Amino acid sequence: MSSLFPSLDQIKSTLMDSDQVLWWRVFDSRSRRSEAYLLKNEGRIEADQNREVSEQQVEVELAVSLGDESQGRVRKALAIGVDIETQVQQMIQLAMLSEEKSWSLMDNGKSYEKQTKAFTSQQTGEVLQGIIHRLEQALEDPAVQQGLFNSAEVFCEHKQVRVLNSAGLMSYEEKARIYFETCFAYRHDQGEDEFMLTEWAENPDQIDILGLCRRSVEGAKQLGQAGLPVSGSYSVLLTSDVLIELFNDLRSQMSLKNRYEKIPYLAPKTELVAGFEGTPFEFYLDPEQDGSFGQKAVTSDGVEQRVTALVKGNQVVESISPVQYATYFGQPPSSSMGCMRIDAECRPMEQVLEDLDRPLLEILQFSGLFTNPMDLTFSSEIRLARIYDPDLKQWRYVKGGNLSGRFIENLKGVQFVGPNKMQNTRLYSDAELSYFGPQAAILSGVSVSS
Amino acid sequence: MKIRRSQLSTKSQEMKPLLEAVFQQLVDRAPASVYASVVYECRSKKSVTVYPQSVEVDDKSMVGVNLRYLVGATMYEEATNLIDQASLNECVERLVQRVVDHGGQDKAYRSPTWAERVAEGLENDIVEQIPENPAPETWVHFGVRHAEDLPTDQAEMVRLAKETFSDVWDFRLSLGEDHPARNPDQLRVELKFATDEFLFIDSSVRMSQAITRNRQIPVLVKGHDRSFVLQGGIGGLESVSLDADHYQTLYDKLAKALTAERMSPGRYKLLMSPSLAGVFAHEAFGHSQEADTWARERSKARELYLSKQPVGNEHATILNNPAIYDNGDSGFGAWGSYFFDEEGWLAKKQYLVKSGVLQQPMTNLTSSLRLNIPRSANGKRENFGHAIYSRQTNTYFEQGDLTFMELIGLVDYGFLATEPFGGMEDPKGMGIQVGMQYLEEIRDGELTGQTFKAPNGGAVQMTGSVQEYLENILGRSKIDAFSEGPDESVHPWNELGGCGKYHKEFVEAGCGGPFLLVDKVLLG
Repeated sequence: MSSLFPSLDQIKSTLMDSDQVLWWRVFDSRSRRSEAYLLKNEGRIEADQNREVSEQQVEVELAVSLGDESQGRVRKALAIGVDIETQVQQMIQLAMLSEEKSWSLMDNGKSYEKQTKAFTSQQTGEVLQGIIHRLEQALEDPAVQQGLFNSAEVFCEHKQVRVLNSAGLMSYEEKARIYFETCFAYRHDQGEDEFMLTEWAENPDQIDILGLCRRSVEGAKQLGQAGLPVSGSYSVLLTSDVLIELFNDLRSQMSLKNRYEKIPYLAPKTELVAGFEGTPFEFYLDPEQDGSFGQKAVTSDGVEQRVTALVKGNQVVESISPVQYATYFGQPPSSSMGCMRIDAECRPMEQVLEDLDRPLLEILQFSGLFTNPMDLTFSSEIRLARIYDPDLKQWRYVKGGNLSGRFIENLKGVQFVGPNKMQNTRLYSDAELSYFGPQAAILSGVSVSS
Repeated sequence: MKIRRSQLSTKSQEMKPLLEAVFQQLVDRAPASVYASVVYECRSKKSVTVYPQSVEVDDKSMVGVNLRYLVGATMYEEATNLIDQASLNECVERLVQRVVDHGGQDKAYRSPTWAERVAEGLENDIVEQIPENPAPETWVHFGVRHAEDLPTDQAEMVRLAKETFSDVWDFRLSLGEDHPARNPDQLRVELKFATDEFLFIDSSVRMSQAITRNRQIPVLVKGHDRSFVLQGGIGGLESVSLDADHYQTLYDKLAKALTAERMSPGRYKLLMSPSLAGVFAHEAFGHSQEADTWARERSKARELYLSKQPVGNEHATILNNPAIYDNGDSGFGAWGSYFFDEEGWLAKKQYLVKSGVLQQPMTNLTSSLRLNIPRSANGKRENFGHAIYSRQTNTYFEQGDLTFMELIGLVDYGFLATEPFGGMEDPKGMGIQVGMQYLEEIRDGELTGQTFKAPNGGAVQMTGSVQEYLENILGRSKIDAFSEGPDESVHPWNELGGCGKYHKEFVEAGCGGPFLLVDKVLLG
């Protein structure tokens, strides 16, 4: 891809020449994405939309002194066709309007490089076609043919990100991202139901297309025979796609940023769960976890990322301390990025069911999970779930009703179900999350009203 | 007095010759059966956030272009933000190659002429900006009315946001000593001025628009609770004006959240404020009336529409309208408004449900062709890097004829909900989920002053069946619900909001309506 932006050397030299700039960072990202939006037309898969996206963005962040231990700081994407000197001057003027307590980058003049082996920027279309082919093959599967294919979306993206800063840091990172979404319906006597599933992955092999199609058909089928759950307090089995959001809210309260902004903050040595009597677990930020979107060698403020324990022995161990907030509280900075990893003793599902002495509600899909990082509550309508009756040793499908809980309270008697699973996702803001840990957890005392 | 309207930036204005040349290349290279179009966008946001300890200033701009070929009912796009002749030439080459590979032989789509568009019956605000008998090559610009000019200097934005910060902070001193929100932990004020500029070219029209979408939000935090006041819309500086009534509301909302008790789940009468009614409308027969969802056979609404089966009672009238240039009695436009969608279709009011009977859905171009139903101005995308979907603009219940006092008088026991906390659609299953930060108790037609949260101490969720709830609407207020006289406002108030499609693709969307009373709502 050719570039219409000034070279990184030009940007660097302009910033270094300015005597007003205290410190700076430059982010150069280039991406190539192939997208297909598929539906069914006359019994065949057809593209409703077929897109190719090429993008480059160069952002500059700089800080200027405002005196009295305060600084101004701004981050801005460079415009095409405007000379870099003018743009830097405009940014300096803008930065003078902002204000914060001074901080600076870590002194780290090293170079870091991470490449992906998944696919190159030239291969996004090929990978996309490969996934569509696998989808077409999955549609031939007898179990899948019980359902009606409605739609699928496939995105394959290759991204390169270069970061350099005024402390000498240079990092280069390649990312491969795949999004796959499929939805099947199932026709019952009373009508049709559908069940959509989505998956983010780094490598096409991480996505079990046939498995997702089968699960989608099965979910749609079970919706037709599901009844309403009875109101009450339940032990609830939540899978990794839900746990990733709940643990992310918990993580947010361990950040020094929250302490600085005077919003809920869990300080080191705080007991995490009052009266904890569940399976012990440890909560880590792991920037090295294979296959995770959270892999990170170094942050743009110069902090080398390492495996960091956040919770051990039901106690908060360490705060997440980016350089800015670590400076404010006079602490050394810590790792702030990585895959959320839960280490805990897991039991296989069969064993968990064997030992149950009360019904277990397994959530197969929420309609729309809402979590609140301020109070760590969560709630959703139950789109599809099943209840295991330990006396009859049978599952019964349910849907509807509202489930609500408070994570930090419901963790009190937590049990984990294995094996471990990697869960990646991308949020609305394009921020990415990763979780590696037990494929499910059983939380107790969760309220269901119907 | 001459009306002042938002204009294109110099940068966008200067793009026109390049885009015209690229469009001509697309036309020249296209097989006869292909419809070509070009869409350019520049989404810029200037914002200032004032905290007690700091001031953040942001100035972001995202520019991109989509080169488009429609073959049959399949849209092929090349999207890029590298906008110069050479890069766009490469995009044209790639697009041509992709379409040649497809080998479509379908009849080409024909975009309507200006005369055909105007004959559709458009809002005056649109018609008055169209010159007489424009040629296909004539650029027609649409701009937002500004009563007060927006600041051009970000220093002025900082001054305005700091002023609001001081006013809100000082306002606490006017509260009684026992006001639960008198000593918040934190206050921040967010002021944002965004301008979305679009240029659209096809063989029939050349259009541009500059939508100035502004908002000012003060946020209070105490412990785990927070409150905010949303003020904004499309317009000039007038759209972000806050006064002492807003500040009182802000502190009172925090107090209500702080003093809320945990409710017993169950079925109750629920009186929804305009913003809550809007979320209900949006999730009920907003998402399920998106035609691309119909085309994917993922909406029950298609089947219900064809069967003519009622989906609600006589109060169930829901509209989608991107052409609200006077929001309630505010004097500025509603949050989700524009003049044309991102596929060049002019904005117009549309009924989605009329007195309990489903109407045709909102479309983007491909879904309109696939379903053979009329187009509407609902083709939107998160930004140039994302695909077009059928999306909502401003979705709302139609007004009724009761005052607020008459409506609350119908409640023996129930709750008033004013603070939305998200929502989720289920177009195929016809389920609904609407979140509310807290509820205010109503007993014998009066607010008791007691507030409630969910049994877990968090946001209350309304869950259940869309059709059941639309059947259970007991009444609707007038637009001007607190006045005895006839409505002076034309459109119900639409609140600021955002919308995802299932779990992604964020776009701006307004939602609103009158106060709406619904019976037997499952809350928990």
